[in-house]
Amino acid sequence: MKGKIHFQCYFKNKFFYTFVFTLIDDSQKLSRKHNYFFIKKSMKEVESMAQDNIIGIVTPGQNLTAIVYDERLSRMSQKEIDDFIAVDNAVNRKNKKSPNTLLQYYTKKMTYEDLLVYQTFD
Amino acid sequence: MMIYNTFPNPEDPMADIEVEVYQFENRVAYPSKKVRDQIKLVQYIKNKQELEYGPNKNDKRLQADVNQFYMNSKYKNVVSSPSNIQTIAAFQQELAMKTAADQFLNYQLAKGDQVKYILVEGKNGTYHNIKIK
Repeated sequence: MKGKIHFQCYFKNKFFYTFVFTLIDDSQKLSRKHNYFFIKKSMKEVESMAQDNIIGIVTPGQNLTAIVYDERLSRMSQKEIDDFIAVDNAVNRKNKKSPNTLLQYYTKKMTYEDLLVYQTFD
Repeated sequence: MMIYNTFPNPEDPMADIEVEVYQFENRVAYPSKKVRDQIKLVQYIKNKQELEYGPNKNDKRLQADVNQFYMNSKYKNVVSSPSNIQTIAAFQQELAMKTAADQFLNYQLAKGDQVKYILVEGKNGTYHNIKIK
């Protein structure tokens, strides 16, 4: 698999582990482009990984949550952001979906391969 | 999981070693009597690391590794470092044979493997080595 990964830290509760990594692209060293991403694993998964060391945390097709930069929100004032989220949530309510939080605009769920593409082109 | 950072005074080696304890759940634990007892164990692992890898003063990363320790949340006597991992099985074995000269058996990761694996605290005071990729 491509991409250099650096392990930052992990958080643990009763049922889950959350691992934090950075993806570093060697070809864009000068722009210092790093992407932070989170991977959630259950207790059982971590225990099975400890017994079988062939399987790693980051596998091909691994689902993860990456922190992304939203250009639309960066240009807005706080009031405009509140309005923008309120309009989105009104649409969600009509479609009977759960409302979005502000954090959801700065994170994106994707696979590891998608993140490699996102890092090089965005 | 807790992290120990030791700051020995190079000018006065006989002075007390300051120990700071950090906890991962955003709570700071202050040094107590129990923590001061840990220094012997920490020193033991430090000496073992120096025997294995030699004193590497130039390598900043290794220097940071040498000064970082993990304390088991259940068994406070079990202290490990990123490269020297004291497993709970080894600790129980040590309890069974107290007369053994080498009391604190531990498990060492190869130097190259330290980049590929991470140390994760599991249930009942166990530690796991997990591959990153």
